[in-house]
Parts: sequence; C-alpha cells; structure tokens
Amino acid sequence: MAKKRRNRREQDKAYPNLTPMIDVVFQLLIFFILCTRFKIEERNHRADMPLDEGLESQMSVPKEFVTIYCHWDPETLSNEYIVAIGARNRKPVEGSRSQLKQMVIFPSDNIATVGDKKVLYERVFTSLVTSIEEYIIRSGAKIEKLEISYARDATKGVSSGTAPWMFVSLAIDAAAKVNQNRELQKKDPLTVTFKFADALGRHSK
Amino acid sequence: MARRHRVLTETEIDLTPMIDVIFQLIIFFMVVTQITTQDNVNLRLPDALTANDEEEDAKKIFTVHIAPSDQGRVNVDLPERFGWFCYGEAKERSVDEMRAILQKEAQIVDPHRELRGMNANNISENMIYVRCDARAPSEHFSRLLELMVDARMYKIKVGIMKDILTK
Repeated sequence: MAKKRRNRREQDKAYPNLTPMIDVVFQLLIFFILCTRFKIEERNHRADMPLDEGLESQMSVPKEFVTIYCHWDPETLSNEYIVAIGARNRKPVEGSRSQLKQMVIFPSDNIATVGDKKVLYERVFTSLVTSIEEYIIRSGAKIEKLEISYARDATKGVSSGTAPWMFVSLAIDAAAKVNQNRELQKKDPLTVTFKFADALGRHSK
Repeated sequence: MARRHRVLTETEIDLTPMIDVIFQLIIFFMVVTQITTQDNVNLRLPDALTANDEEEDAKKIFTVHIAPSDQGRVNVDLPERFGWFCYGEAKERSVDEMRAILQKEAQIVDPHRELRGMNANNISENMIYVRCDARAPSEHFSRLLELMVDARMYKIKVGIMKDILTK
C-alpha cells in the first residue's frame, strides 16, 4: 500500500519542459556564432593637421621644403617617386618604380607572395627615405617641411587624377622614418603636409 | 505457471551538462560579439614599416572607410569606383551627407569615448579614424580632409594593415 502511494507521488512530480528553452538557446547560439567577427588588429599613422595651412587659412610663413611627388601612370598602373625642393630640381628616386598590384596585399595571397610584396615595399621605402635624406643634405637649404604631392599634375590639382592611396601611404611612412632618423640625430622633426589644391573644386571655378 | 513481469525502466538523458555548456558558449559569444558593424566595410589597407600599434585602451572613434563602391568586388586588382562609408553601413555617402556627418561628429561630447567636442578656440578635439583602401585614388582622402577642415576637425589617424608576417 505504502509502495503504491510512493509511486503515485513520484508520478505526480512536475518537471519543467526544457525543450522550448533549449530550442531558443540553440537559436541564440547559432545567431552569435554566425554574427561574431573577431576584430582584426590594425596599426595606424596618427597626425594632427597643421592649423596654419590650408585653403581658407591665412598665409603661413614661407618654409623651405622638400616635395615628394607620387608620379602615377594610369596606363601601366605603376608609380615612381620624384623628390624636389618645392618644384625645383626634380629628381626621380632610383628603384622606386612599382606596380600597384605588386604592392597591395590580398587575402588570397600565399605567404611567398606576401613576402615578395613586403620585400618590394621595403626596397621602395628604403630608396625613398635615402633619397629624401640625401636630397636634404645636398640641397644645403634649411628644410623645415616635407610635402607629399599625389596629383598627376601638381599645378592642376586633383582634377588631373591622383595616385592610389598605397603610394601616398608609403610616402607618409617614409616621411615618418625620416623624422625618426632626425630624432636620433637630435634634429627637429619636419612638418609633413599634403600638396593638394581645392579637391572639392569650390575655389578654382 | 508464474508469469515473469518485466520491469520497464524509463531512461532519460540528463540534459543539464549540455545546457551548462551551451550557456557558457552563449555568454562567451555575447561578450565578444561587437554589435556595431564598424568593420563590415571591406577594403584592403596598405602596409607600412613605421606605423604605431593600436593602443589597447583605444576608445571607439568615428571611422570613415574609403572603400570600393561595389562591396562585392573588393578582391579585384583595381575596383572601378570608390566612395565614403561610415557607421559600418553599406551606404555610400555623398559630399553633402559627409559634411553633415562631420559637422555632427565634431561637436559630440562623450566622456566614455573620450570625445571632448569643441575647445575654447572652436576647434574640435575629436579624432577621426580613416581606413582608406590602398587602391583608392587619393582624391577621396583629399576631399575628406577638406570637409574635416570645414568641420574644424584636425586630428586624424590613418589605418594601416597589421604586419602579418613579422608579428
């Protein structure tokens, strides 16, 4: 008799039905697995743009400067760097010609290809840094600024076409290296600016 | 003849450990998932040798992506058109839209994101992070700089690819 009652009590126990909860939990899990993207680390060049230069600012005190021209050829999709004091004494940087697709790294590139691209980048970078430093020494002028020009025709501005960002970024990288080297030599860093005339076309009409 | 009663025993699978593990997984994914779609704009960043590593405590700052207009053709050698994207949306921004966005971003004050808005000289202390595709014509960057100057924003960070071979 007592055993029967115990069995009845056992049967009467209420168990929560976990099935719907497991369903929902699985839905959530699948959602998060599909949506999660792990952040890819990046690096950066950080800069404060000069307040005393630009189209609408007052004219700044003239500075002697070296210009790095990104000489982009859209037909061969290649670039060569040229350095000059302002627009004078333009001198092509030896060994700096490279094609865009030889420089940009794609996810589909294998390790060997990435290695080749990095070697080429380093070669162009080193040539440019060396060239800028030699140019500054040989010019004998008191250079205070490095200017990066990326328009195909610097006098016409961006309307003449511009070099891809890869080559401008490399020029920024080289300018940063020149400044790092100057810091080691206890010299003042050079201001780095961009030469561009009225990219939005508001002033040149 | 005595009949033998077979005792039927119900076997139940104990779901408790599985539920425990699934909850652990859900909590993990909830914590690591970034609901913002900041990185959903696809582009190819350039490489560099002197770039700074990203600060570990870097707060999320306003990011402008200069990326191929056709996000389905990111991996071709040279996409035909590029444009500005922001807030992780796959919507290309016009000059007027970008001007309005920058004017708004220049003024935002948010201590949690270390955004201080305009200073006493009416210059924005807020920084912009620009992720520019290596193949994009630099005029897109140039135009963005002009709009930044209009919005009185002068602090900029330019994104560089992580060094995948040496680190």
